[in-house]
Amino acid sequence: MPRFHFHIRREAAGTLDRDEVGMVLPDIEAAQTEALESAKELIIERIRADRRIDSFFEVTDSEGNVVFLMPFWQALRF
Amino acid sequence: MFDLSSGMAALTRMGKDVRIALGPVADEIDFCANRLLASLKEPERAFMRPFISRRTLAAGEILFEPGDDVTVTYFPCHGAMVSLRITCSDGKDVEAATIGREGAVGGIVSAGKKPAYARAIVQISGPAYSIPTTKIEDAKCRSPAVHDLFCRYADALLAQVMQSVACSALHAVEQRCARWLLATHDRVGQSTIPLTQEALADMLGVRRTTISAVAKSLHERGAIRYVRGRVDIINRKRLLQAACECYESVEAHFARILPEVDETT
Repeated sequence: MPRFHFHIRREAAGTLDRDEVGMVLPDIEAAQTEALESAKELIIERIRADRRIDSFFEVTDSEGNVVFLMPFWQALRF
Repeated sequence: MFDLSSGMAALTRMGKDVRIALGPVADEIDFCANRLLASLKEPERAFMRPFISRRTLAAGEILFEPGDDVTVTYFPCHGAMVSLRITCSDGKDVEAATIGREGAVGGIVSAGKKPAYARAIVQISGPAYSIPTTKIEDAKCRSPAVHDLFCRYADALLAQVMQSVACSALHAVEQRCARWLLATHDRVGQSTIPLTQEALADMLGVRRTTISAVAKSLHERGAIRYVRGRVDIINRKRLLQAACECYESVEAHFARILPEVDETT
């Protein structure tokens, strides 16, 4: 099973928080679920702390190739 | 009271002499490896000694499940750590209490053979002593000091659980994570904690990826470093600054009610 790394790019700050450890998951769908569920949790944390939610997940494989991007706001429903 | 206490102590001394005469004994019980056992005085130790077994707890091992009859009390030694967890019907679970070398797990609050409410799972491997709960109850009946010690420990354990309720409802994941690492640092007694992000996520009831983000933030504060499979505590003072007051409140209560068990006094 592949290892995915869920880096967090903070748009306004222009920084990338690297997820060095990563996580072994069966496939990209599982990685998308992980990103979405974690985005829900991180949005809650940031709202409570009066922080911006403009970040997105930059998910890479173990070679560093970007597999997909997922903005945190994707976890929100309007 | 121990009416036979002086006789027992004398017997133990004799026993020790005999063993020395026969050669070294492999299974000498080190009461000092667990702080609760360490605070027992000799007559009580002499009573407990024949019933104590030593074993190694392996990470992930389940000591009891909800509903199990708890017949054994475990006293984690050195860096071993056990987590009491509550699992909901959707499979999500969260930690209610952490027990290490400062305490014991199994029949503490229930005072003996009763069905367990939580799941007890070994979080960090290490040695432990185990004693049948019935023997602990016997020791409590014989000695008011033992009774009082276990009562006070049950109170400390309940205080930890009550603080966890407040912490989980009111505090940010980063604060809770810092609190948990501080408490674990005390119990493990070394700056490297063998713990995956998945395990830490399970404990706090969040996703692994959320832990990664929080760990990054604690790393930026200069408090910790996460390497695959372990956390390094780099600066405890900074970790304390990142934690909520829950860590210090529980520690202060423990030190107040169990001064003889607390490592800082």
